Amino acid sequence: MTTIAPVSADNRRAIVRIVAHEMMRAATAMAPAHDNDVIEYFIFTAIWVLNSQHLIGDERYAPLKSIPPDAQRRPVSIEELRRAMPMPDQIMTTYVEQMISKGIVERKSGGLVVPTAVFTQPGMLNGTNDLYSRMVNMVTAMRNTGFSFGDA
Amino acid sequence: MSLPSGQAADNRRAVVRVTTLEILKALRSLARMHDGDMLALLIFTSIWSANGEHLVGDERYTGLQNIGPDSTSKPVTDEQLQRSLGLPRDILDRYLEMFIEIGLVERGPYGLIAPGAVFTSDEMMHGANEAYERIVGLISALRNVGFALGEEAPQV
Repeated sequence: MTTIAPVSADNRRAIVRIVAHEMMRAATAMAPAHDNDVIEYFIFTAIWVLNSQHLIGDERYAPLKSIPPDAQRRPVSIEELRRAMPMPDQIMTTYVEQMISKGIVERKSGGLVVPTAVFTQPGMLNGTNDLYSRMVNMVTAMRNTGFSFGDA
Repeated sequence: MSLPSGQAADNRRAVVRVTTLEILKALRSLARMHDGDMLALLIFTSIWSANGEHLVGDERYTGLQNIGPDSTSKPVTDEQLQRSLGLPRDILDRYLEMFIEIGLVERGPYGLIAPGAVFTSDEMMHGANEAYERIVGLISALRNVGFALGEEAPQV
C-alpha cells in the first residue's frame, strides 16, 4: 500500500478544480466519437470499465495495444450499470439502446458488453492515448499547484 | 503514439482503466449531492468548472474554504454548455430549470453561474473534501499500476 505524504498547504479546492476541469475537457474531447454527446461517452465508459475492472493489475493488458479479448470481458447487467451511473431510467435506457443500434455496445446473456473490435479502431486507440496524455498533463498541473505526490 | 518522457513502461491502457474506474466511483458517490442523479452532477460540474476555469493557478482560491466571490465567476451561456456537453437540449433545459428553481444556479445577463453561497453549505464542503480524498486515492491507484508521477525524473 502506497502512502501519500500529507500536503503542507491547503490546496484542496485548487486540486478539485483542476481535476474537474481536466475531466470535463477530456470528456468533451472524447465526445466526437459519440456524436458530441458527453453523456453517451460517460455511459459507454461505465460499460467498458465495468466489463474490465477485474483486469486492473493484470500486466498482460497494461500496454496501449494489448486489448483484452472478448472472452475476458464480463457483461454488466443494466441494474449494475444503473448503480454505477445513477440517472433517470428513461434517459439511461435511451442511451443504451442508441449505443446498441450503433454497434458499439452488445447485449449478451448476462448483460451489456463493449466488444473488443470497438477498441481496435484507430480512433479508439488514439482516444486512449489522448486520455493518457491528459493524465500526464493533469499530474503536472497538480504538481504546479503544490500537490504532494509523496516525494517532497 | 510514443510515451511521454519520464514514463518507463507502456502501461497506458492500465492507467486509463484505473483512472476511469476511480473517477466513476467518485462521481457515483458525489452524485448523492444531487439526489443520486449523476447526470445532474455532471451538468452542475460543467457549470461551476466553466465559471472558475480561469481561476486555476490563482493562489487566492486554493484552500478548501477559499471560495471565490461571485464577481470572479465567469458566466457560461446555455449555448456554451450545450456545445461542451452535447446532450439533447430538452434534457439540458430540464436540468437547468431545476437547478435555478432550487437555487443551485443563477441566470444572469451573461449566462449561468453557480453562486459562491452554494459551495459554503456543509454538504458541498464535505463533497469538495471527499473529491480531494478520492483524488489522493486515484494517485495511489495510479502509482500501483506503475504510472510515473515525475519523482523519478529531475524537474527541469
